[in-house]
Amino acid sequence: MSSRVEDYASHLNQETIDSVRGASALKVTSRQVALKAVFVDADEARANAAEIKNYVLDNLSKLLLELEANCEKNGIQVHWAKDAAAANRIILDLCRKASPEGGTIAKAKSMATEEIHLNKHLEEAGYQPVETDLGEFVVQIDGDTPSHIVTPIIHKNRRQIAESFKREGLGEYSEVPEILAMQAREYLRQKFKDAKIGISGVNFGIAATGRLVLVENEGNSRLSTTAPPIHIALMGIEKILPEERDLALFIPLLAGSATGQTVTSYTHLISGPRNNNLDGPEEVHLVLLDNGRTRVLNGRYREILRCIRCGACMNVCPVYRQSSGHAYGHVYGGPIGAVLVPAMEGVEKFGDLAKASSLCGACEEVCPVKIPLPDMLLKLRDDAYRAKLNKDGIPWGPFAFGATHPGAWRMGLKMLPMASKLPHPLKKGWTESREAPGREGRDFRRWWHDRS
Amino acid sequence: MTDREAILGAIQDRPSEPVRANPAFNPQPGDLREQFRTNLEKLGGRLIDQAEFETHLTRGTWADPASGQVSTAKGVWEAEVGISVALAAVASTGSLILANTPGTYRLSSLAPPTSIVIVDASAIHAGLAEAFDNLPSDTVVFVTGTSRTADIEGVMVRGVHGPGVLLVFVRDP
Amino acid sequence: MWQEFRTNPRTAGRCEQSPPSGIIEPNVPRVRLFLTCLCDAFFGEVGIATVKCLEHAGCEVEFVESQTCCGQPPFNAGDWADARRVATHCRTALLETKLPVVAPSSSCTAMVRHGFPMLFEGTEHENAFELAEFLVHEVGLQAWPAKKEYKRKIALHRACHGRALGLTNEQELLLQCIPGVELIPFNHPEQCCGFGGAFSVNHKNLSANIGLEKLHQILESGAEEIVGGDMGCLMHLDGLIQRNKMPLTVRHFAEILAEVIE
Repeated sequence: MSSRVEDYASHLNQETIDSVRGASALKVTSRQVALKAVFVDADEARANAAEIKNYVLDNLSKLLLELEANCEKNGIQVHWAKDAAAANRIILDLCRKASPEGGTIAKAKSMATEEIHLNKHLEEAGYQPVETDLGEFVVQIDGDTPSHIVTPIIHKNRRQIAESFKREGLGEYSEVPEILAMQAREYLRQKFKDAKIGISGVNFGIAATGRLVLVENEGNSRLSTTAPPIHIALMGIEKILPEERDLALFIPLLAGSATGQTVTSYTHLISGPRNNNLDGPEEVHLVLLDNGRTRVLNGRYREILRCIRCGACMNVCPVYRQSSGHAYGHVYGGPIGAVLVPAMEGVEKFGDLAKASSLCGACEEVCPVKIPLPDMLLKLRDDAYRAKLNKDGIPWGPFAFGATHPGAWRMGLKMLPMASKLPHPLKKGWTESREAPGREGRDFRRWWHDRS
Repeated sequence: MTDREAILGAIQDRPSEPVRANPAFNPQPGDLREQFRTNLEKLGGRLIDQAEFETHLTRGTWADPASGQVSTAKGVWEAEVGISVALAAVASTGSLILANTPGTYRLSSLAPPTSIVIVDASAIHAGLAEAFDNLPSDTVVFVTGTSRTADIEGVMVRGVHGPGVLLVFVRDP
Repeated sequence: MWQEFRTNPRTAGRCEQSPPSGIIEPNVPRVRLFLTCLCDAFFGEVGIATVKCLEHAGCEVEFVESQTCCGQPPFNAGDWADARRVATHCRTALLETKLPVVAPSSSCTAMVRHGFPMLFEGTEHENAFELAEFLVHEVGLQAWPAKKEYKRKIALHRACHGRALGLTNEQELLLQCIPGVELIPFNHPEQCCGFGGAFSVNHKNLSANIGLEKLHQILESGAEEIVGGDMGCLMHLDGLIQRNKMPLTVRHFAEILAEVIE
């Protein structure tokens, strides 16, 4: 049985595949160059980062309480949400209090808000959330979804974006990236000024100091968290770092892995609301989101929670490159999605994602926190098989019998030339796009027998 | 049961000793000021001198009070140039560290299309480790080059939301 | 466990060693052959070449007739119960020995070294080696003592399972000093060929498209022959080459090593 990824990819147009493949390949190269330039030994840096994240997972409740206490000391109000519904409710209540009559909400790019489908809830309640990251903005006006966790419109080319901007009346038709970016800047400027509320994610929450760290390149995240009178930040509970000095490691590791930069344009450490400053929000709220994470923490896929959402595993993944993030049917695609999604939401619903991999291991090789993604894909297949899901139609029982009975094995091999003439589901899958292998040259066992 | 109790109740800590971040960075040639300049320029920023700094004061500028300059723009959103003061800089990355201390603006380095940042020559840290060890408790931003995006086909565009021009005036004592 | 390939065929591929001549004095005189099921079923010549290479390197080779498969196919499919049965047979029949066990496949070797500990906690089989890994790291070869030339423009495809074994440039070292061999760099050598065992059948379109992408990169480079160390990858690529009538051939590196010593 195949997976939804294969089904989606089979109907994907060449233009999209070319966009995804081209941009991914560029990012693979720039990642290698950046990490090599910055670190004496990038592998050592990755190992160090993995150890720190393991410490975080091993001491999570202690660190969450420390973060909460220090945030509150800084004037950041902390809320806890056990699932998506709770997070949406908390955020909506805060919006209603701040702006009962509805209005514009400036949104910075955040996978956590995508995960809980926040925009839909805000819109249904009469608010106008505006995605202000250029890529997310394009996704929003097109009624589309992000296909990559870092570069949401990796599946679109400049012509498609130009058409969308023209349709939305953002300016004269142009395929020049500079002009398109300036059209978006003009349009979104007014939104920042109008916004009553700014909503963002969090890249790192620092337990020791109670600060929220956001990294970005465009400046829209800074604007979203500075201009509106209220800032609401949504953070997965695993995104903690113990101390600020950890950032000296994690910032270049994240920037290098995600976009091939040494550091991103803006690294924002938010200490709380306006404090005798001349601008900045009057209230800052932090919503801590579980939504399946504690379940993952206590299970077989605990290490997936080390993830810092850089997207490097997607860029190198041959399957992702041929299918785009949309193929995975969830906001998280690629290798990270193929593990995180079934781990959080169950193999019953998403176990097939783990099959959509050739297990090449390129993902683990680039992961900045050394998550053993291929091993986890294998374990998910084991889980799915034991739950009697996604059976292959391949008779493993008889195969195992043959492979544990040398006589039967040798007999089977002798009969192989005959057997390969018979119809078989395996053979059909193989020969649809390739020629079948024949026995070539001499048989090893006969040769061995004859020479001795 | 509150969500807080539910979440904390679902986590069983396995107490362990903290692990320290210990990144080893490649050394770079030149003194700190030279390194800062090289890295700043790589990211589209530029150093300016006192004379060039003064030419910008005649336009519609929005000056953060900490800079000691006078604002001539109507407001920060309308200004062509924003002037801010950095607490420090980072040589190895070309970053400027701006702290939102009492009496200062955050938007002065963000809203205008040109950002001028003043930093003292004596306040250049060697690398990120020193920088993160010496941060004040105010809200802080590390500005590393201009605002930019590569969302459209990976083509780099400067100044998408924040400033597309970044000028740095390194002030000698 | 999975490591970044350290060398890049773009920059490497130049012979800097003077090849040894004649028979080598090995520090590991006796080895056991791990034939692998693909070579057992289809590619006997690769098994024969492996024996010749090991013997030329001074080893005495033994072959255990009762060996079958390592169990990777059901393991990758998620059927770990059947995988354990097959793996147990493999351990008893083949691996319970002090001798090094050498396979012409990084995939099967990775299953033993990396997969078996996932199936049976606390076990390890450090005596299993991939052929090039064995020749370079255990026998100590830095180049292959070729007696004649092999005139071909070669694209070296590194099987992804080499990552799990920490393999770097072993196959390259052995091939690059053979007179006539020209290792041709191509784009994205680190990319998978798309085989992936059962993946090649249950995700046949993705598998074929990934493979074709690789083949186009190789065609563009001007190479004539794809050389690799795993018959899984090569069988898949060869099937695509034949179907699409591409001017390329495939070969296991052991066959070339064996050919130039005859």
